[in-house]
Amino acid sequence: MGRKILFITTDQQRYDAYGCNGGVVARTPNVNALAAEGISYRRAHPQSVVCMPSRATIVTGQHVATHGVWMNGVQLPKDAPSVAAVLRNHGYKTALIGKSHFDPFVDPFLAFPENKLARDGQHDALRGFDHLELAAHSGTGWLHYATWLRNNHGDGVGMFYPVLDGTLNVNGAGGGDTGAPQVHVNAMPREWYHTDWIAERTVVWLNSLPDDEDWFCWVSFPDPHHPWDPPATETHRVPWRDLDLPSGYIEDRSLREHTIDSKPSHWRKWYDGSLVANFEAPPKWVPATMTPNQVREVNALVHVENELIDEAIGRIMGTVRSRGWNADTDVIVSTDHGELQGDFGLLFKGPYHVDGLMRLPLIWRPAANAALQFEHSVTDPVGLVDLAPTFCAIAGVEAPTWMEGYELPTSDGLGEHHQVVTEWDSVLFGVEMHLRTLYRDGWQVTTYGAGTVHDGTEGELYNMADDPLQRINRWADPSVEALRDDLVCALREAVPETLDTRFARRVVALV
Amino acid sequence: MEFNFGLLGVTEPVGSIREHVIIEVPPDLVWSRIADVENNSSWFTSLQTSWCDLDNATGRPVRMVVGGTGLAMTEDIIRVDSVQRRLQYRLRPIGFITHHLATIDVLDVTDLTGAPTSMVVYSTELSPAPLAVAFGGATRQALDTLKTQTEAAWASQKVGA
Repeated sequence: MGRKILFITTDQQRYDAYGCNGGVVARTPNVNALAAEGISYRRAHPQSVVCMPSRATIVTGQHVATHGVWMNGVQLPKDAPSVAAVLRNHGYKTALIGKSHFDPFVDPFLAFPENKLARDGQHDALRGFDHLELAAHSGTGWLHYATWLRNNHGDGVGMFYPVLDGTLNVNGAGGGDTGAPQVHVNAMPREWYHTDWIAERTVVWLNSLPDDEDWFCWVSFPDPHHPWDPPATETHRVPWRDLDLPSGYIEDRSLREHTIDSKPSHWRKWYDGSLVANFEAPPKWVPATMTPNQVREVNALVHVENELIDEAIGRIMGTVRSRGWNADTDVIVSTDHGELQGDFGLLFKGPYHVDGLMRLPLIWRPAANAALQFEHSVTDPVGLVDLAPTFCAIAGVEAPTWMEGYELPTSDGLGEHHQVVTEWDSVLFGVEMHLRTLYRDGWQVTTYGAGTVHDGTEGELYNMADDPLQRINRWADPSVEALRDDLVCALREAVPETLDTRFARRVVALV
Repeated sequence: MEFNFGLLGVTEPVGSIREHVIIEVPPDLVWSRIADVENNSSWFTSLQTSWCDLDNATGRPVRMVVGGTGLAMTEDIIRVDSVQRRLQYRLRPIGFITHHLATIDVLDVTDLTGAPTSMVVYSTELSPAPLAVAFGGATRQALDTLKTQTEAAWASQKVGA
C-alpha cells in the first residue's frame, strides 16, 4: 500500500486567504492545521493567471507554451499528458470532483467531452481520472452539479448570480448592499451550494474505496471565484462594514491613478474603461467607478466563501481520518490563480502580473508515515508546474520526461527552484496581449510583446522585498538596468518571447 | 476628432467570423456539397442532423438543423447562387442568438496552383458577439471535414476515371 494523495484546489484565491498565510479575517482552522503539520510555500506562482491554462499546467506538469492551452477557451486535448493517467497506470484510483475546466463551459454545439459526459450522467474515465463529478460556479450548464441542482432543488438554479449577461459577456450588474459587480444575495440553503456538494461527493467517493486502495483525489472548489454569492445565511460571518480595506487598495484616488500610470498603458486603459483586454472581467464595468465600500463587500464575501471551503476541507479530512488513512495521506492545498480583489482599484483578473494574481497559497502536508524531513516554510520560488512531478514522487513513480516542473522542495536550497515563470497571451476581438514574467532573487520582471497597445518595449520590474505591493515600477530605473537585463535574459531563456497565435491551438469558446 | 477603431473590444454587439480552407478539388465538386443544402450535417459535424422543409408561413424552403445539444433550429435559406457559388443562410433567433447571417463562397483558385483547386470562405456575423468564438470553432471543424471528404471523393473519381 502506497501513499494516498488528497489534492485540494480552490479557484481564484489569494495567498492571504488563509490564516496560516497571514490572513486575519477568514477563520480557516482546517487549512491552518494542515500548514502546521506541513510545508507552506511562500512564493508559489501559477504559470498562467486564468483558469484553463493554469489547470492544464497542473494536470500536465507543463508550461503553457508546451501544453498549448494559451488562453481561456482553448481546449486541453483529450489525449494530452495527464498526471492522473500516470498515477492510474501505477495502480492508483483517480478522481476529480468539482471544477475541472479543461474543456470550455460555453458549448452551444456540445462539442466537448466533459460537458457531454456530464450531460449524459456519466462519470467515466477522462484525462486519466477514473471518476469525474464536475461542478462550476452556477446551476446552469451541463455539469453534474448543475444537473443535481436542477433535479433536486430546481428553485436553486435561479438563486445564483448570472455569471454571463444576456449578451453572453461577463455580467457587470451590481448587487448586494453596495452595488458591487458580481455581488449577489443568494437565498440558497447552504446544503445546496457547490462547496458543500463537492465535499459531500468527495466523502461518498472516498467511502466507496476499499481500505487498502491507493488513491489520488483532486477536490476542486469553484470558489472564491466570482460571482460573489455565497448563501445569504452565511454572510453574517464577515460584516463588510467592519472590514478594513485591503493593503493593496490605494484609497487616495490620485495616488492610485499615479501608481497605475507607472505601469504599462493597458492598466490605465482598463481602469478608465477604454480597453477591455480579456473576457474574464465584465466589459461594461469600469474599475474607476469602484467605491471603497464595494471593495469591502467583495472582500467580505470572499472571506465567507473561504470559510465555507475550509469547513468543507475539514469534513473531507474527517473522512480521511475516520477511514484510518490520515497518516498515509499527503494533502496538498492550492489554487489555480489569484484575484485582484481591490488591489490598485481593480477586481477580477487579466493581463496584470502582480501578487494579487500571482502569489498563491500552496501547502503540502506530507503523509506522516512517509517520515519526510521538511521545513515548515519554504521561500524558494515554486510553480503549479511542480505539482505533477510532486504527485509522482509521492506515489513513488518516476516523473515522465514530458513533465517540465520539479518535485516541490521540502526546504530552501533544494533542487532547481531558483525562479518561476508565468505567461499570458490573448487575442480577443481584435485586442492582443503578450506578457512574460519571471520571479527570481526577490525581483519580478514582466516583459510585453508587441500587441494592440504595446510596442514590445514596455515592462515592469519590482523589488518584491522592498515593495511588496508592487507600487514602484523600476523598469526604467537606470540604477537597476543591469539587473533588469539579466532577469529579462533569464526570462527569454525560460519561455518563448511571444506566442505566434497564428500557429497556436484554436480558441473554441470564450471560457 | 480621432477615432480609434482598434480598441472596440468585446462590447461590440455583432460578432464576426471568417474562416477559409484550400481544397485541392475542382470548385464545382466542392460547391455541389455545399449546394446540397439538406445534407449540411454530413460535413458540418457539430450538427446531429439536417433536413429541408417548407415554411408554412412564407412558403419558402427552410433548413432544419439539430445541434449537438439536441436543440432544433430553423435556418432561412437566403441564396443558393450556383453561378457565384455562394450560399447564404440565416439562423432564426433562438435562445441567446438574436442575429445571424452566414455566407459560404467557393472560389476557383486553380490559377494559383496549376491544379484544380478551390478556396472556401465561410463568413458569419452573429449576435451576441461572444458566441462568435464557439461558432468559429465549429466552422473551422466543418471546413476541415469538408476538405477531407471532398479530397477523398475527388481522389476516388480520379482513380475511377
